[in-house]
Amino acid sequence: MKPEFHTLERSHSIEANLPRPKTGLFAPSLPFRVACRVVRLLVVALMPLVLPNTVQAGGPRYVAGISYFDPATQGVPLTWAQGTISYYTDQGDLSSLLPQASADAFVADAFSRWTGVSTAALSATQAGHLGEDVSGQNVILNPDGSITLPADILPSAVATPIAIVYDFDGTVTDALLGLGASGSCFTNAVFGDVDNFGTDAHFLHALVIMNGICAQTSSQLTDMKYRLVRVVGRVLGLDWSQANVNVFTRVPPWTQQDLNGLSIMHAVDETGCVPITLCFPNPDQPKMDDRGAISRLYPVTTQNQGQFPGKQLFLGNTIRIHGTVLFVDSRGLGAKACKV
Amino acid sequence: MAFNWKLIFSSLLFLALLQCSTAQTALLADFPKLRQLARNSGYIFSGTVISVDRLAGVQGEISTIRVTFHVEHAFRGVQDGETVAIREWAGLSNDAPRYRRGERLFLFLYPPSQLGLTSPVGGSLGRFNVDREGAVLLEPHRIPPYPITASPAAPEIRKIREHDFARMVRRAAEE
Repeated sequence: MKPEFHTLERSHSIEANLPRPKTGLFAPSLPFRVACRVVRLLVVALMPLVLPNTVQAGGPRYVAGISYFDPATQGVPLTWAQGTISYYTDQGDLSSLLPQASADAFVADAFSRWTGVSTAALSATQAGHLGEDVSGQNVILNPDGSITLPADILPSAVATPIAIVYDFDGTVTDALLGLGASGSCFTNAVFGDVDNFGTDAHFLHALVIMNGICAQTSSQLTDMKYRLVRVVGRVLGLDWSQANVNVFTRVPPWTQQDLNGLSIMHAVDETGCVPITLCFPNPDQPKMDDRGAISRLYPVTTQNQGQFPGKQLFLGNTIRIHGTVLFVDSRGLGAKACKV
Repeated sequence: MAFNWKLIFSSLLFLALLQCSTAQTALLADFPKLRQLARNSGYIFSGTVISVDRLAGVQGEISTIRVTFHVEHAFRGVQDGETVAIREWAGLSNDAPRYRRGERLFLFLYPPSQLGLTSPVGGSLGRFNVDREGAVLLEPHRIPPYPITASPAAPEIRKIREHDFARMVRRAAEE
C-alpha cells in the first residue's frame, strides 16, 4: 500500500521497531548505533507530548464535555447512535436537472461515500420525505421578530433526525444567509449542521440545505457532490483535517501522492478551484485519512460487526507505522538510516 | 537658473500618488474577488466585536446569533462610529468562523433577508481579520494563482494596511 499521508494520524499507535544491532561489513559504527538508540528513546518518550500539537489528521469534531452531557460520557466523541442514520428529504425538486427522485439518488450516493468505508460501522437510510416542500413560502418572520420554519426541520424534530432541504430557487438560502447568498455556489451550494445533541453524547438532529441554484447544469454537479460529501462528513461528526496540507502551504513541496491523499475534509478551498476538479483528483472520494477518521469514530467491532454485513473489523485492519529517520550531511548527501 | 519649486513639488506629489494608485490597481487585479464581494454586499465596514449573544428559539422557532459591532470605518449600509447589531442563523456554523468579543474584522455582509438574517458574503471570504497593528490579513487561499499545480512557491499571508485596503474597497464598491 502506498502511503498517502504526510503527517501521522492522531490515534495511530506507533511502535518503535527496535532491531537487533547489525553486524558484518556494513554494520553501522558504534557511535552511530548509540545515536540511533538515543533518537529512538527520545522519539518514543516525546511522542505523547509532541503528537497532540503536530499531528492533526482527521478526527472527531465534538467531544462530550463536563457540562450538559452525562458524566460517564465525558471525553467521548459525539456520534450518531450505533452508526445507524435515518434521513428525510424534501418533497420538492432540487432543480429542473435533479427532480426529487434524482435528487434523492444524488443524496444517497453522497452518504454512500462514507457508509461504504469498509471499516466504518455506518449505515444511512432514506427513511422518508419531509412533510412539505421547504421553500421561501414556509420560512416565516413573525411579527415579534422570531423566525418559524416547518416543524420537521427544526432542531427539536428528532423524529426526522437528518432533514435535507431541496432549495429549488435559492429562497431558503437567501432567507437564512442573506439576500443574494444563493448566488455563491463556491460557499453556499450546500450548508447546514448538527443542531441538537443528546446528553448521552449522541447527535439528535441535523439540517442540511442544498441550494438548487447550484444544480442547474450537469457541469455543476461534481462540485455539488463534493460539497455535499463534505457537509455529510461534518454532520457525521468529523472535524476538518490538516493531513497533507503541504498541498496548500507548499512546505515541504507537495508530491502527487500528497495531492492524491489530500483529505476531503480539508478546511478551506482556494477560491480559484472552480470547478473543483481543477485542483483535486477524485474530489468527492474520501481519502485514506478520511476513511481512517470515520472508522475511528464508528469502528466496526466484534460486537457490532453482525449489524454491518460485509464490513471488516477496524482494529484488525489498522497498521503499525514504522519509519526511518535519515541523517544527511550539510549537502543532503550520505544518508544514514535510523529505524524508529 | 531659478528652480520652480512649486512645479517640482507638484510633480513629485503627482508621481507618488500615481505610484500608490498603480500599486493598488495591481493588488486589486490580483484580488478580483474584492469587486465581487463589494457588489454583493449590503453592509461593508471594519469594526470591533462588542458582544455575541445566542437568541434561543422557543417552540417552533429557530435560534439565531446576534453580533454587535462598533463600526470604525463604514463603507456601505452603516456609519462611522455607529453600533450595529447583525443577526445570523445559529445553524451557520459549518464553515463559518465564530465571532469573538474584542476581535477586529473587516466585513462584507449580505443585505439582510426578509427574516432579518445576514452572513458574510461568500462565507469566510467576506470576513477579513485585522491584526493588532491595523493590517488586514489576506490569506493565501484568497489570492490566485491557480490551480495549485501552477504555483510551487510557498504562499504567504499578505498584509495590507487597513487604510490602503479601505481605499481598494472604496474603489471596488464604486465600480
